[in-house]
Amino acid sequence: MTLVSHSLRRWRGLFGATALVLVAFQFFMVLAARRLELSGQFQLLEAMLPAFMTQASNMMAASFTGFVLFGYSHPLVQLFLVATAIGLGSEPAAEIDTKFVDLLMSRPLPRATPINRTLLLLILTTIGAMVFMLAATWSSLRLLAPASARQPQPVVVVSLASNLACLVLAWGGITVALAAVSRRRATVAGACGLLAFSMFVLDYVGRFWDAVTPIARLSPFHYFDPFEIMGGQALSTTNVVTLLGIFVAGAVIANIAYARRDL
Amino acid sequence: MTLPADGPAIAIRDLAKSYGQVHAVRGVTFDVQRGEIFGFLGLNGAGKTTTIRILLDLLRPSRGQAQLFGFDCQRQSRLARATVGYMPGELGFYSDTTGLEVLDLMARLSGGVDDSARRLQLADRLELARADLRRPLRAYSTGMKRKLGLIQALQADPPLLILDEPTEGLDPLVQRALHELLFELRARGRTVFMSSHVLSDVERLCDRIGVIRDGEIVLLSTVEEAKRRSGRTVRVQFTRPVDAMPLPAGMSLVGQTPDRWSVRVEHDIGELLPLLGSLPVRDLDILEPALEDVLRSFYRTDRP
Repeated sequence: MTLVSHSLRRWRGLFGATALVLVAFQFFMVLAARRLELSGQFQLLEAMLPAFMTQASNMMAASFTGFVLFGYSHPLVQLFLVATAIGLGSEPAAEIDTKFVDLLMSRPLPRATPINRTLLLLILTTIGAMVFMLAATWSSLRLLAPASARQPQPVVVVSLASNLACLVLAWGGITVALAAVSRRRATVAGACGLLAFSMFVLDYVGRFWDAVTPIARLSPFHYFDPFEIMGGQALSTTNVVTLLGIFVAGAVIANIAYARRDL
Repeated sequence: MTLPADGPAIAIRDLAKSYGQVHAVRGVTFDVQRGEIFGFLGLNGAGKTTTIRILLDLLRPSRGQAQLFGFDCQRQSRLARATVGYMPGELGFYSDTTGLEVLDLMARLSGGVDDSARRLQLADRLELARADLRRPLRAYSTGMKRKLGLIQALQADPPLLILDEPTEGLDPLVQRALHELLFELRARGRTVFMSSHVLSDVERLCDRIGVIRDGEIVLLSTVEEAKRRSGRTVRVQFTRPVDAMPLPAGMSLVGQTPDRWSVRVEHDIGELLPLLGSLPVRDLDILEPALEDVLRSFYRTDRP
């Protein structure tokens, strides 16, 4: 825990900025939804959009609820959180890069400490980010939601946040696994960033192009399905297990690789 | 922690580390006794830091074994590392942390040993101002970082200190303070294993030295023995020109002018005196060998 609190102190600026951005984004989404609701534009949109589009998006664009929930599925939010996880997850490589590991591991610590510290940090910060987002959504709805608007069900919001948290953890696990065998943070962050973006695009294409759909199953983003949840379906156990499975696999690989390597 | 009652502080047997075809350390074997200051010398890339990093289980050896106070550096790594205070050659401190935060962290990671009084005493002796300890490390000079590195290694008062180039970047006054600190530690039975390029430090501080070249130990002796290996030089000034003549075994003429000789004496100087007694000697000067002269021959690729 000494190392966890040390890292939390070192990263407090990033954590603060991340929390601020996420909170501001949720407030912005609710504020924008309020304006559209009060000006009657949701009804206008619903009338203008073809039926298949409103069904495909589960009324995302055409309702106050859908617009608010978009705050949990927006590509910017996904990529921002994944980028934060990549930054955090690459810390073991950064410690080798900066030679801090020589000081750290000259102390009587188990070899697994830097890896498990990073995994714990990923879990704590992901949970923290979701708590901030949920709190921001709840308080902004309390403050800004028009009386006429139908508010999202708490279970839907929590399910979305949980699926998003699993996605972030999965990318954290992938990053830690790569960081455990690398000597440079830039290599890890660059490779994981590129991979994440490629997988995001693959999943996006796979959702609209049947030929790509089987390959898109390789993308962790495939297992984050906000539209299903927004449409009222329960959080998919398969999605949760797959994403958490990636995280656990990354954690196991990282621990084995780090224990065997030269630092 | 309780240390085993006897045995050397460091025992290295047939230690080797290879990276593919590159052999960083080749079959190194030596001991460092408890309570001694041991200088580990060699040129850059000779294998000093690799050996040190194997002792701390940062690197895994390709062959051989290393022990600290009887604890195997790989199989009982945590026990072995619990006996060590370490100052690396390159200090990987994060620049956004303060000196005090670094010292607190290292103390807690060492098992909760947090002797603030000792820490401040060390800071005073190494002339690192207390106000500086509260500043972020980005404001530190190289010398200040080295001092902080020394304090973090010394603060838990470990039985073994492993110091990689401890005096590098320190001004002469602080170097002297460090020397005194190390002598005090030795007097209290602590062991110091240090690598250094500053041979005057080694000569002054170390009881024994080991020289590593291309991954192999090429010299293992006390400082005095090492110096004796190179022999002494006797400079003789005559009152008038003297012809060269045969010298006793173990002596050789390394410089000569009509009225001056420089004689290299490998063993006792006594056999030279009868010869000089028969010559018109005006003055005699006996030069002790510098450790640098001795080590230069061991550092070279062609073996002495």
